[in-house]
Amino acid sequence: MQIRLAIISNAGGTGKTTLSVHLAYELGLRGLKVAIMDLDPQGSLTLFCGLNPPEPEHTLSAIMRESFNGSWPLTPTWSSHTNNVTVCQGGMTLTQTADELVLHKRGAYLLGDCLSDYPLEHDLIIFDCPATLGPLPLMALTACTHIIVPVQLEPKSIQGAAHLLEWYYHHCKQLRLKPQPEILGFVPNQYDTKRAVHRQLLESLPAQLEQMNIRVFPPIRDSAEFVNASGQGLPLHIYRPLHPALGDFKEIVKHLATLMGNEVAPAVAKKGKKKK
Amino acid sequence: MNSLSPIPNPQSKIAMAARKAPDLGNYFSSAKQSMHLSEAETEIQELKAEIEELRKSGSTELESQLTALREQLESASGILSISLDQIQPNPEQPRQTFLPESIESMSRSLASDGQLQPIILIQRGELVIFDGERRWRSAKTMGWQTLQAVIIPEPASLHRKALLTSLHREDLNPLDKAEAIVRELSSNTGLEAVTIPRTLSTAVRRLNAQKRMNSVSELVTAMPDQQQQGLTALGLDEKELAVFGRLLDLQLNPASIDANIFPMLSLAADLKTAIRKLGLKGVHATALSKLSAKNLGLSESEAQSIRVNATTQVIAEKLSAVQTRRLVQSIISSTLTNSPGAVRQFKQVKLATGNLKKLSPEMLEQAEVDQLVELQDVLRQKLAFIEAVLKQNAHG
Repeated sequence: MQIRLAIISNAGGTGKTTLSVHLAYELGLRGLKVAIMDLDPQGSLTLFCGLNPPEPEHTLSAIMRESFNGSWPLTPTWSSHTNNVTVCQGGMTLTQTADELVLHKRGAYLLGDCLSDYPLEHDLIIFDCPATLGPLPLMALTACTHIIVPVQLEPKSIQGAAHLLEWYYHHCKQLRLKPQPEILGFVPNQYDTKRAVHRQLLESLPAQLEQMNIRVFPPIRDSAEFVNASGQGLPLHIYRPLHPALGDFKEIVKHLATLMGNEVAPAVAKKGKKKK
Repeated sequence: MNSLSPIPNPQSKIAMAARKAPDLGNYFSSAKQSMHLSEAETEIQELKAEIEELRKSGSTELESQLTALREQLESASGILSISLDQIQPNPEQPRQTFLPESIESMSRSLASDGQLQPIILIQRGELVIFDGERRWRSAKTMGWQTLQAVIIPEPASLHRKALLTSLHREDLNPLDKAEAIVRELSSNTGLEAVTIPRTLSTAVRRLNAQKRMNSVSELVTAMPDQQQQGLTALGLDEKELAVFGRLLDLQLNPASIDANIFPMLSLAADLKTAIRKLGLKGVHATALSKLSAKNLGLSESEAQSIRVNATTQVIAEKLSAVQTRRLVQSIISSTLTNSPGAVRQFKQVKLATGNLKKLSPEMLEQAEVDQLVELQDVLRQKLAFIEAVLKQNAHG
């Protein structure tokens, strides 16, 4: 079953793109075909994947046009290490797209419509969403089957996530989404054990979310190396293959893999050229 | 350090806020509320869908409801073999008559296939039939000793349930139906049984004049709260509201009940008997009811004998509704031509008289001369003819 995973949070800097990139790479290692779609006008996915800025016709905006004929603008990434991850890039053109969506009669459903009309063969499609809850994440909501919510363990981020949940319930109802996309869970990000507020919030968050049957995955630790890796356009796996932070993704990856019926242990990444 | 006058620790001057974890409960309370609302709504949608299904498929679903009930009872206390003379018919059973053919065919079925389903009895002092009277009567005529049965404790509204199962399941004759409904409405609303048909027809007539009867038909398949809302918007008085409400509750269309069912109650006794005992259909009975003393210009007993003959003919020759109406029409016209004191009312004449009365002096004064001359001619012609006819009648 094709999983369409939306990574949504209601705050900037929560680690959406980082999470998208790392999940994509790990699942690619397991032999699953992954496409990451950048719904963010900021287009940071391009940077994180080491790709060149795309031509406007070669972004996600293109598929929203009447003229779209099913040839998805997909660019393979990290090809020295994997054949399984492609990217549909975003960028500033998405701002215009967002405006146009509001006027289109099926605006909220356009992305899902395109995926219906021109299905992709990938096992997993990840929608990397922008920070605010506007028409672009709404499109992801109607097109996705599952949602993961990255949060920082700080009051502002958590409050944002709470509002996100309200947005989710409201739109699932209003747009009559059937079946309703499932919230796989919250992912506490950039966790710094030295900060008391992080520890406190990490402890109290699961109890709150349990009341809504939402699970909390183990936290991803804070590390400067994530930032460095993204600057190089690489996932941490390639940039620092032995970094302990990589183990933090295990739970989520296992969960997603099981959803896709993939129980096989991850393959070893093929040794490519020496990294720069 | 001088221990007698302790120097205050400078840091204590700064009020340090207690290191309390932020209360997440507040953050998520709205989200929780939204979630619960959303879940409740999903459940409501599902229940609605189920109920719509039940209402639409009418009898089949009720059948399966009965099946479900039977199965529950079987598992609860098992199927029992009950002696026929311990079983009492339901005194409030809406079907008061069981036509011989119906009993016969059930007997044949019981004889060839045996009893396929246990009947359902209620423990009420004695054992009363909830579902299965036809089988019981058949079993008795065949001299059976026992029937298989399952037993339930007295349900809250026995009559209503028996009514619902009968109303929507079988061809209850319209007279029995009417009486059952009136009885049910009367016991439920506290209104006098005799007043109920009149209350309904007054309201229906008024709503028809206001062209609002359509909204009532739509309410038949609506949810109870929608029904309530819809009814209050119609400007019915308390009694009318009670009647309409109960009818909708029983999944009956007030317009249909008023047009087809309640009129059965005011039929002549012979027609009622024919419906009950001879299987005369409601539509035919309505047609035959035109053979009244008034319409025939005869006495009650004369009219009745004509009616009974006609009824016998309709049943014997299995006439259709159209054929029945034609028969009635021909009887009326032939009776009227033959009868000396017949009051023959021609609508045209009555209308013309009425129209002439409407010609006010002002109208005549303001009319065109040509028009008046023509009217005068016509009136003179007709007047002459009328005088001749009246003279003839007086002598004839």
